[in-house]
Amino acid sequence: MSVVNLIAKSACAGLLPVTIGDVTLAEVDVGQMWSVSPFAGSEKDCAVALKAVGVAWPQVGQRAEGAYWLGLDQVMVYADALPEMPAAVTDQSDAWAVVSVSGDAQTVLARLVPVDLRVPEGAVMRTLVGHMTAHVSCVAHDRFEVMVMRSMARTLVHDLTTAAEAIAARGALDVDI
Amino acid sequence: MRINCPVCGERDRREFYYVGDAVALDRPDRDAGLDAWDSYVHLRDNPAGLTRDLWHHEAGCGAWLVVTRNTGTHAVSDVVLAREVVR
Repeated sequence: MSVVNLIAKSACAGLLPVTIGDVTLAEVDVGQMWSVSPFAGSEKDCAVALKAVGVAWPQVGQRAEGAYWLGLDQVMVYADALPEMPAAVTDQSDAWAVVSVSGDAQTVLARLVPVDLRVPEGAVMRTLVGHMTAHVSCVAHDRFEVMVMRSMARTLVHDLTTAAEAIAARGALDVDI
Repeated sequence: MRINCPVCGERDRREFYYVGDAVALDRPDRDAGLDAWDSYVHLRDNPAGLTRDLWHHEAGCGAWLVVTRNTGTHAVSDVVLAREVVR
């Protein structure tokens, strides 16, 4: 029997990176990751189990070492494998498209996201990008990462590109608005 | 309209889904009788004033919320996690 070699293709393959005006959109390769939802009352046990493998338990709306907050009683963990713990664990690798928006990211995202983006570094939010549910995290004041379901990758790139182009076009007018 | 999610903070209404009267948290006993079940399933007040509704923060943290608001003024006076409501 012959072995079939499948070619791995990232969510935004062929779409990114692009630079529009001062804004650069690039795909982020997040590798292996897992969603961890502790069973009722088990958050501490899960935090202890993850600490043993060098992963810190993130606070609500925050990033931590090797993990970030994903929702009520749910965190996402970057790791090749996870220890046993009292939680519902699901492999999320390749399930998401993650795009970094750098440059004037706040202005671009302000056109798409209904939350105040003047947040400290390390803040993460579950919200909307246009009509898509999304996960938005502030990596630096001029760099955000937006995560949507993989099937929405093309739509995300389209929305971000359209917003960035509109802002670049407005900037090119060279008028005070 | 904005709803102050206890987990995420104040967010736009479009992130939330309306799920109906919070009476759903007061499910009658199995043998409570037809009147109680009829009331639970079918009968709702329609007040011009305070209502207590269930909302789902579907485009946010995923929490189920009990939102107390005034249908006359649209003012939201209280938001709590549904799981923290004593039944």
